[in-house]
Amino acid sequence: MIYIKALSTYHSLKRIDTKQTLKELTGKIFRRSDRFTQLALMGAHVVADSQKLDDKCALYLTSAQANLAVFNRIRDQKYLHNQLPRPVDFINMLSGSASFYVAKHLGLKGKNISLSHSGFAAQMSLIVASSELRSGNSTQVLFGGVDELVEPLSLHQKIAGVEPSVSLAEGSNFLLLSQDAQDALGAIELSYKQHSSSEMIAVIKEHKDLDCISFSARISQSQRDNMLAGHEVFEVESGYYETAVLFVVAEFLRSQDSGDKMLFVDRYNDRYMSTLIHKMPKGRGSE
Amino acid sequence: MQQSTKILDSQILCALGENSRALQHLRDGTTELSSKEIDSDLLQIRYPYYSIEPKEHNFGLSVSLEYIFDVVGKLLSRSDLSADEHKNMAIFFGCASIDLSVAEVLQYSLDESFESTLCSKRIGSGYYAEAIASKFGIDGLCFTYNTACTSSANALLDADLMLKSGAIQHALIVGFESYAPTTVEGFSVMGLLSQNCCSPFDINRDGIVLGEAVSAAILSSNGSSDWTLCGGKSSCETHSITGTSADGIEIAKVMQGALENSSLRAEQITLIKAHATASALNDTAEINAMRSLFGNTTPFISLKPYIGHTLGGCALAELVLMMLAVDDGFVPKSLNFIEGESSDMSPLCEIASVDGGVFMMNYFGFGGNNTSFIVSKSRA
Repeated sequence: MIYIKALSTYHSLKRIDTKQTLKELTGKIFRRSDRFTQLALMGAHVVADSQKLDDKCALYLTSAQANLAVFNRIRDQKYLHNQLPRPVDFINMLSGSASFYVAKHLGLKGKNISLSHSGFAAQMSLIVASSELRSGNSTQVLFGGVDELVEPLSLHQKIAGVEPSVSLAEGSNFLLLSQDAQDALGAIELSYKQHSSSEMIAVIKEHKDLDCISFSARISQSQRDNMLAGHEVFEVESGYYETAVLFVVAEFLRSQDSGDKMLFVDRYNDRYMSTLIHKMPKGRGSE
Repeated sequence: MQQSTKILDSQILCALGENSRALQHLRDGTTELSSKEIDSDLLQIRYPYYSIEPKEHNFGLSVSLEYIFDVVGKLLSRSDLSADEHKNMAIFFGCASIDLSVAEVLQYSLDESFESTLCSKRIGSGYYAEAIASKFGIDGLCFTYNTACTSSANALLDADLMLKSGAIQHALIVGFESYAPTTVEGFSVMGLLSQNCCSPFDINRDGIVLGEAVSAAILSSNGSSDWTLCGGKSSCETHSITGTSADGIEIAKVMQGALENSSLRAEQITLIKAHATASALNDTAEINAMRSLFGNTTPFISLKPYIGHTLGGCALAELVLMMLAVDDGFVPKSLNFIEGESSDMSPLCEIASVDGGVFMMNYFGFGGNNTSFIVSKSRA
């Protein structure tokens, strides 16, 4: 079990002016940063504003496609214009650039990791972050999931492997994690296993005290109907991005009428993963 | 009681070849250098480059996967893990250019036939690790690290964390970097590449020489091996996104952290495998850090003159080379060093005999990522 001490969410079905939003949030302009980094800074800044971070706090940043926009730009420079990449684009192409800017902005000197997974980026990364906490190497982990909405949307849909009918979104959602339960908003109970469909149904049935279940956008209505065993569904209109589970977690902890225990179920390539969320006293009805 | 992490076996493919040929090169102090050309509207230039044979190949996902499958396949074929242990092994994949799996698809997207070839299959980070899991029937946890030149070092350290916590029993670590035009071009426009050779710590060093390598290792919390991963430290230095501070203070802190995490003292280190990129600032910073922590008594070497800077793959590749050499009873000499900035700090330039010892491995990358870990081999 790992505890959520603070959280922040930003998500949108449209691309917003991240530079302006970030300036309004922080009063600063981040030179040489692009939208992906600005998204990461927005989410991280809000958490740091609400809870004191130790400078040894570890930072784990996860994303599905990372800085897809800069890849698009470099592709055009190279293959359409026969130009070399600009140094700033080359540096920002590395996923670690966004986490560097976050660490610099927040004064963090601890472990700084950018990691991913082909289908369960946030869930897998949470597993490593929880090991970091359990080891005692870090007492706080700032955990962020960032996915950017990249134009053209048709290309982004193909890269994300979703149907054209799926509404893409972007998000920057951060959790401050700890082993310490005191004043926690909620807790995450991680499952290390990936399941088949039938195994997932069995796991859901074992959780007899669930208040609700939430499903990722990858799970169709018919698949949901097969899995539900009389549970309430916690619906969040987040649009599709791979780290949206963090937004769902935050929305559940903020909700006042959805109970105290939720199972989030995600699917990728016919494998399923579940994540159990407990709402804690400070989290009930918190804003 | 916390268990120690054992390194059961390892495999490499790099410019020196596979394990046995690489070992011969290390013993002889020889290497094989080729080159890569940049041909843009503004710049035509050829840089030295450490290629995996065949020396000229097409950049492509299929080539990358061929290398990866070859190395991982050879390693797993020697493994005596049970079927269940194999299936439940966790994969920790480290690579700086991981998003090449995205970049190449974007390149394809310029082709009109793209619509019909992509088939709505998700592309993104995690592609290579997923391919390994699928190819070799591994069903455990799977993690992909992208922290620039420390990628496979951080993969190794997080595997150690999870092994020691009991969350997993076995881990397959893979470090990977293959030729990508954008990577060479990016380093070129930043003025970081040498047009001559890789000569770490030499007063006339003039930059990095890039290379490609695939390496893999199996770690275990309950296996038996002479090699132990003692511990390590990873931290973030926000002095600059492209390099460490020349005073080496933050590097010294991460090296000290690695010692503390391993419950070791500086005088217990047999030898330091330096990061040693041959870039002006990085080498100066590392010399300053080693001097502050170890004085000038602990020998250090560089391995990048043998295989180039293999970026996110360098941590595991250089660890595998070190283990090959030490298992054969020697420490390789540092190549291409003639004269240092100061007379008291020079890398080991002669091959040295060892029958085991405690070795510090340093890696520092873009994004302020500094990582140091320590391995030991029990003496005969």
